Amino acid sequence: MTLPPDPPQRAAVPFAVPPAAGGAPEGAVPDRGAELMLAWQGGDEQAFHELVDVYSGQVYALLTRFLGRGHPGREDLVQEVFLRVVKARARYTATARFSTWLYTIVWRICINETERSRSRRHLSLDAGLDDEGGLKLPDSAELDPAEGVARADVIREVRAAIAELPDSQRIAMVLARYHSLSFAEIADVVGSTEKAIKSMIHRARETLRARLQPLFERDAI
Amino acid sequence: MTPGPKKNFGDTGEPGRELDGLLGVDPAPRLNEEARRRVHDLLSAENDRVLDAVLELDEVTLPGGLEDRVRAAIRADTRRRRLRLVRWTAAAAAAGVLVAAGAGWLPLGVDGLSAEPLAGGQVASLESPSEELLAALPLLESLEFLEEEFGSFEREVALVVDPRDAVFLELLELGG
Repeated sequence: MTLPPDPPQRAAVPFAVPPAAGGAPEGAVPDRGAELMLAWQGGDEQAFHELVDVYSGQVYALLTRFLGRGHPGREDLVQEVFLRVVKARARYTATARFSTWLYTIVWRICINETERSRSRRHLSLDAGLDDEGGLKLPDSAELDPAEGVARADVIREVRAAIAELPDSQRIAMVLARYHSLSFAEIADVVGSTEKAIKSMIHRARETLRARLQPLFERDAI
Repeated sequence: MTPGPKKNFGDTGEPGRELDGLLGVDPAPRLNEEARRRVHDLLSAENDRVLDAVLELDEVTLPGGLEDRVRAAIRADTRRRRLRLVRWTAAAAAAGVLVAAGAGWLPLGVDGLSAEPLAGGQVASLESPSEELLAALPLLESLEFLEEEFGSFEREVALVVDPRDAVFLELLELGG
């Protein structure tokens, strides 16, 4: 089962403020995540199961694109994200789109994990061991041989290019491109300003374009 | 040898320059600012489109049964926390029962044979539960909870855990 990027039309859709917070703005679509979270707060345990169904794949995809396919324990981190959701059950308020709130938790875990991996990497290099826990392992996992050599090469290049971006640019680019978050929402997630996020994404795209330019010129896509 | 076509006025012999010579315009292409901006925008849009198409190729394969394992992990964590709570409640309740029982037996004397009736001739009744029973209530609730929530093995484990072991387990958990 593969998870393609979120449909792009979601990017422009504002989140709906739940009725308890004053009613949805005109033209907004309901925020299913916030609805489920509030239902769960009200005692509907089934709502939490649905939250897991709807969002665990998105969380896994974000962790995978940020940490890389070579990072061990991504599934454990998905569980960690939802454990934090469970602990935050009572204090959750629907002031933003649910996914924005959820991705804030994911981002914090990503930061912790990145620091942990770097220190592991540092220690393993000091000890002369393999760099198994490093962040930027060659990202060849999950490539389907049936895809063909050219396409597999392109995908490998794309993943390597994303992995080489600085952390802040990488999370901003991934959230914008694959999770359809607006600049303002990404700013909320990473605790920055909308202007800074816009600049980060611009720089990330320029870097990716320069890095992937040879692929543009090949007839591989 | 056939003579070539007659050369016209302005013909320099260089392809492309002929027409320029005829029209008398500057051969260097000059775009105004607006046209230059439009060309730049078109190229940028095309670059963006190509970059997005390339990025689109990166799909994430989800491990099968991810949702089920997430739910199982959360159930296990919830149970662990409840079990910890039960252990401590049971330990506290047991201590409470011991204290209350000790306090209750004191007026009976050492051999218990010379016990005086309770002051005012009170008789324990359903309307006024004894201190001992009240102190034991959390323990009874914990037992009821254990019956409902846990399997026989887990129940057995929870019941054999000594308060000192519970402290030890807590320390192990913190250390691990």
